[in-house]
Amino acid sequence: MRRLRGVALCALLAAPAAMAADRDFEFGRYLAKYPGMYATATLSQDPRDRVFDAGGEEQDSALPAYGDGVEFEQSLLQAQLEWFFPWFESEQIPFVSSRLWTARARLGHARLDTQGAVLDEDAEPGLSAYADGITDIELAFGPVLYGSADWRNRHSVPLSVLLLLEALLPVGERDDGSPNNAGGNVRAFGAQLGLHARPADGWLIDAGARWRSFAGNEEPAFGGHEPAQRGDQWVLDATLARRLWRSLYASASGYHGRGDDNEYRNPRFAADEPAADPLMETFPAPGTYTDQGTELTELGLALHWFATPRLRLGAHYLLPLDGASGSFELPYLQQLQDCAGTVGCDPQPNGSAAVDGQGAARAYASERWMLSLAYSFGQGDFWFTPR
Amino acid sequence: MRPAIAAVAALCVASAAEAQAGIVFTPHLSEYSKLARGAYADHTLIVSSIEDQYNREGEKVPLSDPVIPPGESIDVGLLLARYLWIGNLFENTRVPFLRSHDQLFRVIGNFGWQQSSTGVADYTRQFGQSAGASGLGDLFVLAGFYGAEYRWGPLRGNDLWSFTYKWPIGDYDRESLLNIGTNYPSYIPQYAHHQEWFGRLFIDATAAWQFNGDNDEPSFGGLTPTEPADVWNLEANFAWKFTDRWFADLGITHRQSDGPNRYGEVTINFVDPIPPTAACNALGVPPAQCGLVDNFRLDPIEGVREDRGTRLTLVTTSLYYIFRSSSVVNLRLALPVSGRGGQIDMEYDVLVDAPGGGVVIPGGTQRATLNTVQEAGAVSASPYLEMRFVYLFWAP
Repeated sequence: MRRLRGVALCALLAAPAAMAADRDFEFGRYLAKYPGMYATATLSQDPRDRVFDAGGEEQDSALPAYGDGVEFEQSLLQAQLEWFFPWFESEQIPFVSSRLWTARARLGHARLDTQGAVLDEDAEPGLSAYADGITDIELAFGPVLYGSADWRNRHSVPLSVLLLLEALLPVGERDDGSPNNAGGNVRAFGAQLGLHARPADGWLIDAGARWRSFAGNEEPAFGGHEPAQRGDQWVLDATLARRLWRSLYASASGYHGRGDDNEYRNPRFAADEPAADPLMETFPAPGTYTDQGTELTELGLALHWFATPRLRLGAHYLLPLDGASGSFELPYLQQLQDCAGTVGCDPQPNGSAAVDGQGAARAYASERWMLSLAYSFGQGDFWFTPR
Repeated sequence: MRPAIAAVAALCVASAAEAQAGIVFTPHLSEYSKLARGAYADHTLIVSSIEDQYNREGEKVPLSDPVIPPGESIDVGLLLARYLWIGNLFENTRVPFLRSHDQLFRVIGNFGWQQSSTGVADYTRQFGQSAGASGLGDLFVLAGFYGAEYRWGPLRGNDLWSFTYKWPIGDYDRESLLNIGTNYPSYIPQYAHHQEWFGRLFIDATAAWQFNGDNDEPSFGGLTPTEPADVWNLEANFAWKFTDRWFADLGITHRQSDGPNRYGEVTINFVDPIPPTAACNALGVPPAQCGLVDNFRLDPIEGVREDRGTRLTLVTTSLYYIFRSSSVVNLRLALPVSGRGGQIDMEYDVLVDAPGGGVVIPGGTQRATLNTVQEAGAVSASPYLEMRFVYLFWAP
């Protein structure tokens, strides 16, 4: 009985869970599991009231260009469905039939709020504070490269390697006048390679690398402060977990993500635009601008408890350590007011203004808590045994 | 009609948002067969890049025809989540008929994303409209029961009767070229039939009538109908079993509106005034006088317009792989073969901008042909790809 319970517990550890946005801190996330369906729900609360600016300095505002006190508070509920299954198992197709495959879908709902002096309806009509609702959907599919060949015999394998091909379907709610949106309006494609190992009794390690590339955004939000083209994203993550007592586990995770330079197309305003000379009007110079990319390093600490062999509960504390948000200088032009024809319509440089990149260009420095719940819909007879 | 100003007024780019309701009902292998009692989950991802559409003459034309250079498109992604329960609520009761015929209940939710390419988006902004949409779609709720079952030698089959209500809760923005929700309800009685021949050939066919409610808040300047026509559907799917695991099918779908869509609130117009250079030539204003006016405006003339109705014929082909009696993976290609999209003729008064309001130019009324948009008004002529995963939670 103890052995059976241990088997079930360890399999549930593998149910992927507990992530904020595209970050995953759950141990066992790269473990190949017995065929079946696994569901995970997470709830996180993030004040998003601080960011790392472009120079890596922590600022007391989500948008330093708009001054202190800007907050993009977010409550995020996510659900992940994950399947493990043999594929074409009776067809004897090389590589395909000899291993397990996995498919994942992750959906979410975000409640948002915006605080601070961000919106100036007089200067820029049509802006809105936030657009909350469902988030973008992440889909993933791929093989267990190593560790599942003998799954029918349910032999324990202390090492597994997963390869996932990913797609992001941008169905999330958004308003292109808002700086704070649940959806990103950008498709993404990528790949993730993950390793799970149990080097000693009660110890579990997960380590992975991820790359994603993004399609263009034809309607970047908040006057073009959101990237029209996101830079490629690179992520390294690792988790070390240890069984503390019976069905209670503790884990420590590290995350490091790096985004290449983002492009912004024809931004339409800035927080602190330069004043125009008398009888002149000023406006941003049309063009494509780039930031210096984004970066975030984060530490996660968590406790996990298996309430039943099928049900696991978790509590996470997440602490951003270092990072950098995207920002750029937007040059301004000026010309005679209401100029017609060619007289006086030769725009001249008029300084510049700093623009904080929106959406994915933010690297938040706020601490947050997260709760997770995972449930196995499988048969309970998982195919590996913990050592 | 003077061509230049007419072109100005006709800048309403047609969008061809995929017909959600049609996609939801396109049958697959054994879609209407008497299935085992249980709970089924079906997740379908549909993707398309819409580059062509059908006009009212039934011709396949580029999406942006005629006002934007070719090569523009609308990318579409639709994720359907379908949950089906089959059982018998009346099994131990005296309710006649139903106590001996299983019932089924189905809920279909969907998440959608649509985004215009740069050329279309830039054009759309001239009308003060957005060119993308994302979010939750309408919710479909279905209830039905299995009818007669029969077996004659190598042939066996069954009936299925159902009723679907489309609850228009989907995301909807009146100022958008594209929308995920439709903003009008639909009531869809449906008859379906399933046959199996020699255990090899599986036929699923259906006839459905989609009664559409009114849309009091049309979007994109009224180019979605205020009174969407009812739509009838005829669909058939022929699947061949190669092995216990492998199937392939060929299907045909025809859907057609019962008469025209009616558009009672067409107000689409430019946000900014029209520069004189764009209007003077079209109106025959001498250049010397043209310089005396700053700008022109168009003023839509009220009235109810009708298109010629819409229709679409699709052929589909799929490959299925079934494993462990509990899961199905399905890849399908759908190819439009003929169709007709919505277009209406719209009249605008031409006004010269003046202090305190515009002055109508006598005889300056312009007529433009406008492409109608979204589910009820536009018909895509581009193929779409469907990836589907069916999962039986608890196998019998």
